[in-house]
Amino acid sequence: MEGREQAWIEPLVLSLSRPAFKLAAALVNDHAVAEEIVQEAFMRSLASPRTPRALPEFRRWLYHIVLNLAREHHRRRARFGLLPLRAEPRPDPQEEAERRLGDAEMAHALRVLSPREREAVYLRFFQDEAFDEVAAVMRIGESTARVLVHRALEKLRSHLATDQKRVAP
Amino acid sequence: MKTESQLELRLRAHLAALGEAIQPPAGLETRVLRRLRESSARAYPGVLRQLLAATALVLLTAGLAFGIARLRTVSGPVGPTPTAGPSASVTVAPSPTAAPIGPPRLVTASEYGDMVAAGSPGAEGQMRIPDCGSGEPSPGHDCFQAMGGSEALVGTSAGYFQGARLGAGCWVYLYKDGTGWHYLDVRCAQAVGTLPRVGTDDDVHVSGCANVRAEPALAARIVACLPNGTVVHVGGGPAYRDGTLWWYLQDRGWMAHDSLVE
Repeated sequence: MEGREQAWIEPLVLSLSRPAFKLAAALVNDHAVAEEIVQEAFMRSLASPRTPRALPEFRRWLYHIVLNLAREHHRRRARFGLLPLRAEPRPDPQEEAERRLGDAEMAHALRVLSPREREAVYLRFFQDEAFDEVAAVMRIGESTARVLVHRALEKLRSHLATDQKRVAP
Repeated sequence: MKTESQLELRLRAHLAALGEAIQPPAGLETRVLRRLRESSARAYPGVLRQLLAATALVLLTAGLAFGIARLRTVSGPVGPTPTAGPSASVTVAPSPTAAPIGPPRLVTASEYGDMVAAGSPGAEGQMRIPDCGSGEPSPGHDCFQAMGGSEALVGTSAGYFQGARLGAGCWVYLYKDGTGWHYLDVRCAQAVGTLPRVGTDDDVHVSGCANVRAEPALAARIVACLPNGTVVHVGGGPAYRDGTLWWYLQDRGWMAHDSLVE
């Protein structure tokens, strides 16, 4: 990589690697894969002549690639016929969250969302993005982003209500 | 302004806890920048770049068709033809800056000295213990000591040497570039299966499954995904590419170092 190219991307790497990692790790639930995704996302950003260089636009561009790579990862896992995660010795971020809050129901409910719904929910509530940003990252219309989030919340509400009915005496 | 529902508040709280639990690894930015430096990007201007892109598209389409046809007939692991362990020569089409993959070999005396000089301070810093110095450590004193070069190996742009601390043998992993040897990682263990070395068995340690690739590169084709606890035999490596240390698993392919350590 030439010095000129590094000059514009280096501050972006320093400011966006960690938030991109958090988003990737939340989507794929694996820190090693998350780091691969972050590295690959920056690689693809550098390689594409269309990559915007200003921070807000670059951030959307980078997160879009992160979403795509996370989807690719899940498709590969499905292709190899793997079962959902079982208890692992390495700390699982989802399990850590459950331990901290005791919200195992919410963690379980999130798993019933479709990949796109989960992406929209994470961008909206995990990354705390406004709907126009969610739409820009996912490259959909803002109304579509609102519908995805609304649909996801309805699914969560329904799943959690069903869970509560099951545990009631 | 519309207030959020109880569900949204609960969801935010859960995801905030998830965010706190996810800690990016130390050195993430450094590794990203290193990988960007190691790659060749936008080397060719204008029309030539378009021609290359078109050629790449044709090759990709042909490759996909071949791969799909092969997936329908393959019945076992796909990857480098398994022959022998450390003496097997696995050649990979090199990137503009990457060294070709070769079999591991024993270190020379000067290499060992350079590796210890680079690796010991890094290992001591990671483990937060001092160097034992030149003499024998006093009983109960936890310190790090290099144990000689008899089992130190050099792979492709990477290598390791043996050390020890109180109660455990250790292995220090390094990579090499144009400026010399650089520290990567240290692992100490009393039991087998917790760290990789050429010619030994190791366990896969991962949340979910760990990718096995046809070549030691993050862009290489994934040929398998091994679940946590899979016993693998380390038959070659180490190799350093894309900011990652790789090990060749006998009869399988290449796996990243992080998936082979506890």
